[in-house]
Amino acid sequence: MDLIERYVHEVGRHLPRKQRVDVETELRSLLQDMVEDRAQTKVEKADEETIVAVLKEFGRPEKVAASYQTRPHYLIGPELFPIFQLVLTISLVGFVAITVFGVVLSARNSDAFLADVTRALAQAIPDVVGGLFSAFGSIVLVFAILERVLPNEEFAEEEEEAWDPRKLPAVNPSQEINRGETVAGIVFGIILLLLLNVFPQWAGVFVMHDGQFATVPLLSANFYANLLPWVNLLLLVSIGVDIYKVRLGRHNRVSRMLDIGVALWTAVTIYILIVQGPIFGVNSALAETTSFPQEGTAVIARIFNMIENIGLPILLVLELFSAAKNAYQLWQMPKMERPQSFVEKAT
Amino acid sequence: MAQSHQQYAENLQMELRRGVIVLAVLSQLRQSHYGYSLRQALVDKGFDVNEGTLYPLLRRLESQGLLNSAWDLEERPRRYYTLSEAGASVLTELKAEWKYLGLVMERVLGEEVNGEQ
Repeated sequence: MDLIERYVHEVGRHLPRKQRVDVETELRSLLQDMVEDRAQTKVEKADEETIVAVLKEFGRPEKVAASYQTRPHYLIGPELFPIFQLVLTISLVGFVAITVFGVVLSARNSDAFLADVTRALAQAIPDVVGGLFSAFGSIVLVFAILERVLPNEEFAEEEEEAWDPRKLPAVNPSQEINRGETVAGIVFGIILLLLLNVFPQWAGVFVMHDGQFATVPLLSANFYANLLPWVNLLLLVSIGVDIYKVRLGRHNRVSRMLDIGVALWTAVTIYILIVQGPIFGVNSALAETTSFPQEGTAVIARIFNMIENIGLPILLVLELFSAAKNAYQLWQMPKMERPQSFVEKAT
Repeated sequence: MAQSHQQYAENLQMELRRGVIVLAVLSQLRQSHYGYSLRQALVDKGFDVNEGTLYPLLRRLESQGLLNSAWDLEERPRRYYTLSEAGASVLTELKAEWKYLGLVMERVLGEEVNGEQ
């Protein structure tokens, strides 16, 4: 009898509070019926073997509880899972690669290069593992939220009868929204927001200093003081537009106009970053790190100067190009709708 | 691990049976049953169904409005299920479909129809 109680309680633990008592009462009564039927005696007098056999036949409590649930409970469902895997792989591999790159670069002129790199990497392991867990947790959290925010395509089945094949959009892949790309954009946007605002200590370059592993902040104090609000605003708007686009599935005039707006706004933000820079503070921070090789600092300075002086203007041009491309697609829209209305008039 | 042909056959048989469980259950609930008595009624007719499948199914059919249920709290508390009006109508449709499928499948499988050669 105690076994039945323990079993019923265990099933109940895995059920939503709302239906728990009701299912537990019914399950207890059903199990008692089964045991009495098998043992041909009152359940109180039934032997343990019979009860164990009945419970085994019924199945594991978690499995039984799951079969009482009306909908599968995913943290990340099958539709988003491939994109989740892709984003996770890129983020984790990228994180490790940047760490190794920083260590190797900072030890490149060392006499005992291999020994220094090995020692620095070994010292970096706890930080890297912590960082990997943070990154993993953040990505899972973002996808779990998206799983609940984005529309479930199963609901579309309810509208089956209202569906009319003649209203199918004309074949034009350029107007289709790539769900994978857009979701990846949302996730990276959120990770960037978290990195810049919540975990700024992770927005750094990993270097070896005096045989010790150290993190040098990537972005300048000027960036955090004056430019971060602009970037935050842009990221928030961009994430909002991307969520709207994923829900939409296919461009309409509003989404095209929003894309043009975001691209122009990004271009303006980049212009502000260029004019009010510097945005990278890694050069001066490295120089302050005593005993860090002068040549190493020069190499890193060259890389970040290049990103700031050449990379940002290129990005600005690309954003203007993206705005122009979206404007063209917007202009194309009425033309594409013409054949459909023509068909409707003809029928 | 690859499944043997025997395992595939067993899985497919289970799928086949799963498809008709609802019909079997609805057919028995013209009269009121609680979970265990319903299972016994099905087993007595040769339809063996796992308890872990049957009892949650009763809940789902009730939540879909095909069954009504009421607790009998005398002695051991038991939840009795019966067909609702909607359930009776669905049962009629399912029975017709089952008969039609039976005829079609006999033709498809090339076996005797109505006992004639």
